[in-house]
Amino acid sequence: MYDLIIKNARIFDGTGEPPFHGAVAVSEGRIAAMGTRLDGDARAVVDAGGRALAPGFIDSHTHFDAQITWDGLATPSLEHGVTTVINGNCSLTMAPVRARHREFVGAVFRQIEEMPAAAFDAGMRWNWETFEEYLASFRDQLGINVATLAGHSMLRLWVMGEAARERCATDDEIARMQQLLRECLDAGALGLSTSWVDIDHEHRPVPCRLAAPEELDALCAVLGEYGAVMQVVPEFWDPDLLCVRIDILGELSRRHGITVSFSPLFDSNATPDLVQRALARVRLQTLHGARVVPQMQTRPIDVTFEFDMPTSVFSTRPTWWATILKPHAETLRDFQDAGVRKQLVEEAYNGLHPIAMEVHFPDFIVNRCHLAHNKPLEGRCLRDIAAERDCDPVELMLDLAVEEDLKTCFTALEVGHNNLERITGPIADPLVQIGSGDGGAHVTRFATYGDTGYLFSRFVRDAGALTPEQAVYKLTGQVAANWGLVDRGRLRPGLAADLVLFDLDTIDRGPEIAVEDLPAEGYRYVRRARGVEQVYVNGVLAYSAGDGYSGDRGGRIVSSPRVAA
Amino acid sequence: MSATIEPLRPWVYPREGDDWRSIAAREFPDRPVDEAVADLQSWNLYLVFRPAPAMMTRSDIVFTGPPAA
Repeated sequence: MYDLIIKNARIFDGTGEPPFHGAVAVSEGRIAAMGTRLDGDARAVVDAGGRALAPGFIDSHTHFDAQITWDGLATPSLEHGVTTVINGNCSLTMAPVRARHREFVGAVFRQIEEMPAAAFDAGMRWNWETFEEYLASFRDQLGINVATLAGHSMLRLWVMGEAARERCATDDEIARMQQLLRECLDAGALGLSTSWVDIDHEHRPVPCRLAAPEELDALCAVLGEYGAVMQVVPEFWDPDLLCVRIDILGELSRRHGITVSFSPLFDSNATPDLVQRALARVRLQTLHGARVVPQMQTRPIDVTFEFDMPTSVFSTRPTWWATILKPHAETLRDFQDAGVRKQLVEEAYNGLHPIAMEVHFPDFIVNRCHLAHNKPLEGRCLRDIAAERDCDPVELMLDLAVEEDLKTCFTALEVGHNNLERITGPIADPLVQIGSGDGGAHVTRFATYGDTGYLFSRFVRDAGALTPEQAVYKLTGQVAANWGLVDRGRLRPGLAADLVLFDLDTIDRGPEIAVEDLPAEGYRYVRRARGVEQVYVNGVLAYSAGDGYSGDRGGRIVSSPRVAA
Repeated sequence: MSATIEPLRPWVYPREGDDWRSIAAREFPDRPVDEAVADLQSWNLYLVFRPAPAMMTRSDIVFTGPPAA
């Protein structure tokens, strides 16, 4: 007697092979049998009605490191068919972190991943220091599988203390970092993450950027012992720098026999040849035996912001940046000062675009208003409102912000990664892995969910760039192979029963909406799923379109291959 | 296939305590330092315009030649 049979399904096995019509049986959290005909009874039988049944999707670039400690479902990723999230990217993790470094680590995480301070402080229990203690703190509450990378910045901070922010490590410190990384991997870390670009809340390089090349090489040697992976953020906006970084990654991959993955591979109107140049370099490295995996997101970038928090949209406009960084009252005063306003307007029209983004102020959308009489403006473009009022769009934005005590919320739509013609080929490229979605991050700025559904709606159905089986492979088997998830990402008897049942004709992401579901009534932007019928995690029904989240907790910690074995 | 891949553009990592002058003196010993610094900076604007207090770090890339024409 099986626990579950899902019959009458169009089965995609996650290898990229064409689907077949049949059934999948599950027992004790694993796939027990599958085929065109399946005999035997089950405690539960689901008629899929001809819908698609695939391995659960794997999101390889998320930042649920904090959220997972209070939300073991990593909402709303699960409802988009994601059954495994990979946390700890970009050198930032919540462990190993000594008690005396919690304030610093929290500040860095909130700065880079744009998590509201009140929500972070209210949600984080911080009842751990080591990696093992961190995983243990949420292991029993998981409704989704969680793999976590060990953050290079955290390894440095643990071993070197404050000096991690100031200097290179000594040989002894590097040896201690290697040992600490082994302890993290033994405890269940999937690999290592590092960054060549991130800055902390004081605008200084994050600790891992102070590492000499020898330090990173030594840590990669440890990854080689475990068959574990490394993720890195390179200078993704500069073709020459990115190509050098790809060469460095290729060398590390070959020397230590490891897979290295960089994210994001990002298209921009500012550097229209970047993606092709980077892929040519990855191809060359692959031919020479390296395993360098570029991660590419599927969605264009929208940035939503208010003027009481700095946002990257203004980072290359000095007057805007300086004004927004000031205390609330001073920002308000500057927005009303004739001299400052003149500079702001001038910079709005003539300033430099931020890296990898194209920002046009008059095209900003009034996303959400605080005052009732301004509500009719929501969803409208500044340019259109200003034309009606016979005023300048930037002046209008400043007036609205002042009137609403800086609480008005604006959105810059499709500021990057928005050229479908340039993106379609690379998305379909076999070397490119779908990733960089950033789930759990930037929560007050834009929704980082639904890239999975968007891959089907935009690139399978609209553009025809991928077959459905290729899209499934890119979200499952390919990620599992690249990241060493040995029993996930494919449908085979004996493998974990992570399953997503969905409608190929309707799967998509919903519109971006604001919800107040973070601790301390904090808000964030999310997208609901469309066309996802059921999601199973290790054989446990975790989500269904009709009933929502089941509350049953079938999630597991996913480790590096050697530890998992 | 051989593991030797020619770089697209010459570059170096900074050493501990490096500044533009020390890199220029090391990489271009036969050239006047001020002239070499000017060239180095023109090839590495991302470091020149990096906002304070961020500094040049050991993990940075310093190009020692111009971009392809």
